[in-house]
Amino acid sequence: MFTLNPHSGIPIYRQIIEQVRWMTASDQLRPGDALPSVREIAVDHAVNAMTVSKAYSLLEAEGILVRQRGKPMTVSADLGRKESKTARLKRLAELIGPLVMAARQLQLDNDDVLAAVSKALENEND
Amino acid sequence: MTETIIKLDQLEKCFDSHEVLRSISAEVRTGDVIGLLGLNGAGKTTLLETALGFAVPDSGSTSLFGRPASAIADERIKHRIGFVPQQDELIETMKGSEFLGLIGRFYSSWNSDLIGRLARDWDVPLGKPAMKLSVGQRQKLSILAALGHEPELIVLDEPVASLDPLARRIFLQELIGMVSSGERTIVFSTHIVSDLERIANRVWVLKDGRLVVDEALDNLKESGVKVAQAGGSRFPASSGVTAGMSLEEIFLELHK
Repeated sequence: MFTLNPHSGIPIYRQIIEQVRWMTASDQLRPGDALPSVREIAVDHAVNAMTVSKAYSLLEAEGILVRQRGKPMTVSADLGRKESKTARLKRLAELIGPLVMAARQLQLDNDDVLAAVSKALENEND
Repeated sequence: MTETIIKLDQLEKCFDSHEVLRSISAEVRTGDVIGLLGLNGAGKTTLLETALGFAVPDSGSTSLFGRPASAIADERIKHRIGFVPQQDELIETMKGSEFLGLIGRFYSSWNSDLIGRLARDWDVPLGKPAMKLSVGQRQKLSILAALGHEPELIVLDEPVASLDPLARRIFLQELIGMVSSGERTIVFSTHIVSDLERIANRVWVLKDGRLVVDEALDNLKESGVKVAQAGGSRFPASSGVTAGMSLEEIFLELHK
C-alpha cells in the first residue's frame, strides 16, 4: 500500500502520514475504507511496528483515520469538513520553521523574507 | 507494561590497558528494538557480553530484569533471554535437528513447532551436520537455537553478517513480527545500517569506548541539528549531523 524508504532522512512514520494524506486527498482512499493492520504493514514492509502505530495514532488525532474497537483503522467520513483556522495555521507553521532557518543561513533580513513571501502570495492569488 | 529490561550504569572495561568501555550508561525498556552501531573493533561484542553478564566489567554495574547481571545463571533470568553470539557455537558433527533438540532440553518452554516453521521458512536443512552447512545456514541455525524458548529479550551480535539480502529481509520480517505486540525486546549489533533503519526504534553508536549516540531513530532523523545544539545531547558540537540525514550518513559524519 505504501512506498516506504527507511533510508531517507524522513522518519518512516512521517512517510506513512504523508502518503495516507495524499491518498485520501486524491480519492485513492475513500471515507469508510479500511487500512491494513499495523502488524501487516510492519511485516510486509519490514519496518518497526511502533513507527506504523505512531503514524496511525497521529492520523487518528488529525481526524483522518478512525479507530473502532475490534475493527481495522478506517478512513474518516468527516474528511470533507474544513479544519479550524488554528489547525490550518498550525500546519503552515511546520513549513515556516524551515523557511526561517534557510533565511538565517542565507543571512537575509526579516524585511527581505516578508517581501518574498508577500510576492509569492500575490502571484498565487493571480 | 513497560519495565526496564537492561540497565547499564557507568560500565568500564579495559583489555590490555586499552579502554574498550568508558563509563557506559544506558537503559533498554520493554518493546525497544535497539540497534548498536560501531566500527569493527569498537567494542560492540564486549558491550553486549558485559550487559548480559557473560563478561564482568572492571567497574560499574549492569542489571537484567531488575536483577544484577551476575545472576544470569539464575534460571528464571536465563530463560527470558536469547543470545546469538557473533561466532556460532554449533556442534560440527551434530545434525541441526539434534542440536536444536539438545538446546531445547534446557528449556521448559521450548516451542518446537515454531522452530520447525522457521527452519522451513528460512530454508535451514536440519538433517545435515553443522560442518556441512554454508555460512548463512549456520548463522540461521544459530539464531533458531536462541529463539526456541520464546525469550522476552533477544540479543544478537551481528546476526545477519553472513546472510544474503533475501535471507536478511525474511529474518527481519520475522523479528518485526515477533516484536510487533510490544512485549518483546531486541538488542542487536550490526554494521549493516540499512537493516537497522528498518527495524530499530532506538540507536546506540559506540565510538572510542563511549555511547556517542543514544537516541530514538525518529529523533535522529528529524532533529539532527537540535540534538547537536541541545545542552544534554551526546553529539559533539562540532559534528556535522543535521536533520534529514540517513543513518549511514549520520554514522559516517560521526566518524570523520
